[in-house]
Amino acid sequence: MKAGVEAAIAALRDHYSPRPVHVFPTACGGAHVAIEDVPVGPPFAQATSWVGFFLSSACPEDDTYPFFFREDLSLADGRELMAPFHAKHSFPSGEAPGVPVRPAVMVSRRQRNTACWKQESPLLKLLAVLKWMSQR
Amino acid sequence: MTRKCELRMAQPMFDDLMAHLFPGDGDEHGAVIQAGLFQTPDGPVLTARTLVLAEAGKDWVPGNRGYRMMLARFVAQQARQCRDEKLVYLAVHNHGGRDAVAFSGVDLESHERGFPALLDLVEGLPVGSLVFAANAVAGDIWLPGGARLTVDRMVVVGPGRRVLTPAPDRRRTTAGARYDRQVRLFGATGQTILAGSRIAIVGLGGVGSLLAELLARLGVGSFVLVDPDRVQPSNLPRLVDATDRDAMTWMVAEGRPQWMRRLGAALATRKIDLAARVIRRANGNAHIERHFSSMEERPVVEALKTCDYIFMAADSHRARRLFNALAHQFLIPGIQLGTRIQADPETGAIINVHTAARLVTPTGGCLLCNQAVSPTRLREESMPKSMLAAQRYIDGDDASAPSVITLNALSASQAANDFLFYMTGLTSGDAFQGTIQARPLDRRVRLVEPRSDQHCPDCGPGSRLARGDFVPIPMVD
Repeated sequence: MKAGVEAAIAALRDHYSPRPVHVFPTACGGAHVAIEDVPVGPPFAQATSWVGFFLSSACPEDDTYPFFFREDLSLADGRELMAPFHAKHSFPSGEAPGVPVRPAVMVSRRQRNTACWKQESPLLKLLAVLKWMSQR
Repeated sequence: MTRKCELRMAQPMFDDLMAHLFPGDGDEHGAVIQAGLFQTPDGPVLTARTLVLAEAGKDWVPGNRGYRMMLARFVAQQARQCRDEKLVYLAVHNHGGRDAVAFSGVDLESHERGFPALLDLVEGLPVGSLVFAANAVAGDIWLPGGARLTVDRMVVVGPGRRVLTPAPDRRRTTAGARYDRQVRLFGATGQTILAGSRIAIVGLGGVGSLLAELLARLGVGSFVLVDPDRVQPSNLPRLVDATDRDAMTWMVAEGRPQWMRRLGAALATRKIDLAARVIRRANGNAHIERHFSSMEERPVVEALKTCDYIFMAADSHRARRLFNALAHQFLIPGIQLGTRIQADPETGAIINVHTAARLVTPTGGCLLCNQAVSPTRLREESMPKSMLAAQRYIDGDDASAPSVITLNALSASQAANDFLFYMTGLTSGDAFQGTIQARPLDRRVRLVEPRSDQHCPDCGPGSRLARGDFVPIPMVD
């Protein structure tokens, strides 16, 4: 794995310890990452979900998105999940030999602040997405 | 034998240093430069990162043995900072005179007395001293382990390039009949500078191909060519000297069996080889180094570090990200080139056509600060195609962008002229240093002032600027 990917994973493990963090390195220096039992906040019917995402070989220079959550993720008040939630996806997406495939809801949130260069670590991006989700 | 090294400095720092050393009082003054260091096959290169002026009467006082000296407290403070920041400590002072300078016996004795202790203090880094005249510099660099370097030239990277040496180069310069007409513009000395220059063209597509032709005909002596692709039939209208044979058009044509199309694509001429052919035809003496790969390979980066100028003519944002880092980390100026053709998504009508030539220098035009590198594009370029497709982000993005040779020529000629007048030192000191956008539909040119962000990881105060080999390179390390 590229040094930037390893550093990002170390930060994720540190933050989410003792929750399991599964890492599946790719041939080009990136990694598929899945974190178990992550709290998703009161708007959701489920207390926790696994979260999956891909760290590319450009990490931490690139934007980390999308994130994948359990396939039955739903809002507690019965409202339907709208974009940028996308049902009927799977994690990991595309070809990923050796990585267990999980049906998933995909959440795609890109960085919107383009006024200046912003290097946002995968951990900070994940926390920002979780915070955004908790405010649905 | 003492080895030689080069020192690089951005123009604003050089101006500050000269104003401090030569305020018009005819006296000696002192300063410290904290510099990065990187290795090339031609020898080490020091990159001036921080200038600390020694205040007369406080840090810079009458000497015990020589005329003036820096106080030990000031020296130790700067050296410790160099140790912590992984930078090279360089003590600076000036002598009189203009075009030649050398250390005095007292200077060299002070090195013998002081540098061993300084080497211990900086823990494994070199230390050294520079002495300036108004138009000359000499340097004595001590390496851990006892080896020493002399500074044989200093390159000032500004709107125009300026070179200072310990003494004037008395070699005669001749250009011959071949370059007679252009020598009338920039002189035999300018032609010699071009012949001794080494440039990189990253991306040998429509713009890079034209650059190869222009720069070779100017007489540039050494090229690094980088491109991972082979010629395709759709490239033929834009690549200089390209033929159907280069693209293997008859083998890759629609309707041919798949095995034949694959074979034809594999046999097509590499773009770097086509560009090398163009360069050789224009200048048989040119030295050409070819890299049939993307920019993100360590051998490519090592080759780029040896260049005087980099032309970024590849579309990829990963390449832009790397280029921007190299330009700042190693103080290598360059230019990023592109064309934008926008169509109305509903009617298909062309609504905007512009070409851009963005100067990227250690002091301006940073691609990160000016939004020319997108984290989203970095992401998309770094994902496998199957993943992109599964996430439904393609939305037609894989369709090839429009490209026309006449538009490419606008940015290529701007870039070649920028390089020519930078390298020969003829660019005006107040020349516009931003992006030049040509808008051919309006027959207008737009000048875009560059911005800079204090928090930028490439050009801000805490950035990789001028740090040389001491910090990792994005996309590579």
